[in-house]
Amino acid sequence: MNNLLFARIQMGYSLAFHIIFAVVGIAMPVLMAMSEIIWLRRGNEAARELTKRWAKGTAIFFAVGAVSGTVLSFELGLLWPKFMEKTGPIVGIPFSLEGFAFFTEAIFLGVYLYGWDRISKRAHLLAGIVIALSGAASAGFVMMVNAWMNCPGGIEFDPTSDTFTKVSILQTMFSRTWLVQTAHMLVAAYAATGFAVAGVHALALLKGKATEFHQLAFSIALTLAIPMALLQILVGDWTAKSVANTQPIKFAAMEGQFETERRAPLRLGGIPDAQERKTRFAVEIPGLLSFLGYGDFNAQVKGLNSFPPQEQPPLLIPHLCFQLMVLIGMYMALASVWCLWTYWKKRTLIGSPRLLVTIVGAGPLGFLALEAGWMVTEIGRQPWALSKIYKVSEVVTPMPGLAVPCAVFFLVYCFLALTVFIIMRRQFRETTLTAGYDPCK
Amino acid sequence: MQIENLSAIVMALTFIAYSLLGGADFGGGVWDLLAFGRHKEASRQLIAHAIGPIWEANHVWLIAFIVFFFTCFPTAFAAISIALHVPLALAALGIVLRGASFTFRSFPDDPMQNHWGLIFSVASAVTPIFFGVVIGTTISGNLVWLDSKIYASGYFLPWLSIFPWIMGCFILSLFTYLAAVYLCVEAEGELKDYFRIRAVLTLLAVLILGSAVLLKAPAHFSQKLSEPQSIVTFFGAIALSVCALITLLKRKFVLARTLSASMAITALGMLAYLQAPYLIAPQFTILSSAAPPSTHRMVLSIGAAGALLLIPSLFYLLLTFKGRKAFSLFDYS
Repeated sequence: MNNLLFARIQMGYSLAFHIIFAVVGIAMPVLMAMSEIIWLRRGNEAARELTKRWAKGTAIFFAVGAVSGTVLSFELGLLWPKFMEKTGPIVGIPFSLEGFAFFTEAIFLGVYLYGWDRISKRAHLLAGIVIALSGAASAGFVMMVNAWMNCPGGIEFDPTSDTFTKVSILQTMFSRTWLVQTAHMLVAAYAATGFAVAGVHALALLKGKATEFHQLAFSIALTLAIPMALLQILVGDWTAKSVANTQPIKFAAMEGQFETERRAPLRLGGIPDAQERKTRFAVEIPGLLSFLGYGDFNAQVKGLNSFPPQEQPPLLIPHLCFQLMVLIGMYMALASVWCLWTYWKKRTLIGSPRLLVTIVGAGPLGFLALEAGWMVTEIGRQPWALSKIYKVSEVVTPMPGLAVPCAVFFLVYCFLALTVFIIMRRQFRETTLTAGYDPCK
Repeated sequence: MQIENLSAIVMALTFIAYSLLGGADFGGGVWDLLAFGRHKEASRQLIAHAIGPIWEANHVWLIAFIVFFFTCFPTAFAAISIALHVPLALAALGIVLRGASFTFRSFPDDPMQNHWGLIFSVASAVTPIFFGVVIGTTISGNLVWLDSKIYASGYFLPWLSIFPWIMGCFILSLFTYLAAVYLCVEAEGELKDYFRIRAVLTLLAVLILGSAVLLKAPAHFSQKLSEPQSIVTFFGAIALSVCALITLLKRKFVLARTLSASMAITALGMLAYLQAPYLIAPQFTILSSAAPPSTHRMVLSIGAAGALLLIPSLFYLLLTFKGRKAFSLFDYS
């Protein structure tokens, strides 16, 4: 049992670590391309400097993302060998496609980062666009695997021979939740990264370094972040409906819904109590959960009690993480509305320190929401690795002593995370240290 | 030919591509570790400059290999992942530390820069050994499953024997040698000779360790080794090495690179041939651990289509950073 727990912890933090770098690697190329277009169109020196600095920062995220992704491909086998044995021929197809998307990304990232003086400006911008597109494609392919684990379609499972029959690869790739999960993830990636970048430069603006460089960076990042944060409200609602329809147990767990009932209430806050079978201390809004899940205030929501106890996920983490994610999503959307309002009134965002502080806060919060969302979908699927087919306990490696690799990789990842943080902070300080210093001049 | 065998060949080719490209990047790290004398700094700069733009693209060959492996031969992949958890985890640690520290090192004002350099070079030297140890153990026959289901040989003893480590040293020497030859081509002036000496010395190491691998190899290797085609291939690899040695001595570095890469392809290809039909000797064969044929057809089609996208892109990458020299096979001057 402990061994399983260590395997889950190791897989969990490996993914939690990798996702940050993957997301930055997906979204930063978009920001870089935007600023490079401004440079090429207007011949703006600040935009040139900004593109270069962003590229340098992105290089480190991309490299750490690439190697931590490789570790994950090892860990799939090292921790869950039976899962790979049984599903390898199925998940291998989208993973192969992802491999090619990643290959393209790596090749053109090399061209982009090191090719400033070697290729034409237009070819350089084009390389940047290819990176952005292949990054988004990678996300789509990886989501095929996760969506299939949540909703394994396109197969029939024969428990007596422990094999899949009637496999339709296309159906396994485009399972019911694929499109919505991909949309939710990509929009989250753009919004979180956009706000994180805007937040960093807002910090400089707050310190009175209102140079052209920081203003430009701030406005480009918000140009991406604001529409994405607003769009996420719609995509998030779509996601909730998809989860309600395809994974009712996960829906019940994340909402703390124990009873099967019509006019189910939406719970704000609250602690689900697995013993007493009810969610305490929540503010309940009658009927709203039915409406959010199924578009009808009288719709029936299946509660946890209608499912066998051994198939129920842990309750506390999915519920709290879900609340946290939604709360931050709302915060980012409201901050976006505030930005648009201020811009409409004053034609600038720089003059309002309170707004800038709000955006600084949205930086780390966006990534926190992203992690929380993954906690909901992954812990909410427990005890299954592949929904209703393989439990994590059935596919974990028989190797004893998993606490050791779990601890070693954890220390290494902490060390790497700390280093990236220190290097990025120093890189950023270079642009703000001396008063009135403008890196463009 | 059965499609499973075709997949096995493509899988072996993926690993060979990784060795020729990504392997040499590890070898570059070894030369960074072993740099000394008055060319110390210049050689390190050359290595960083040579690896910088291409290592991530080169690294993807390993990911391609792993994905190919678990898609086409999932049973053997799961078996190796269980039995060789420890060396695989150590290789993964090496990969993550090498890649991350190489990038951290490139920030010039970093006070930790020397530490990153050390981590980069040590990880570059250690990781290929574990690749070799894993390959060597799957050849050794040390891994045993009861009823072909329950792994029964323990998590340390099978790979802590002599043959896997000879293989580990062989892989390390091969990667290091390839890097030295590539760097001969890329270097200017005295540095060319700096790497030439090193290339000659490591070539000798490759030959000695390669022979040791064949001498210490288990029975299924030795049997196939006496087949005429194996003997021809073996002498082919030796002949290529001798020619590479001569061209190195004559300073025909581009030709030496061509010959060395051909030698590496021959040597690794021969190892794969000798190991066939086993993936893990003696219990997992290509056919016994293969996914259904439809999977192989699909993966091979994806691979072929992807190659159409990939090859021009790779060509463009190398042309941009290494110039036409990257593609020449002979020295023209």
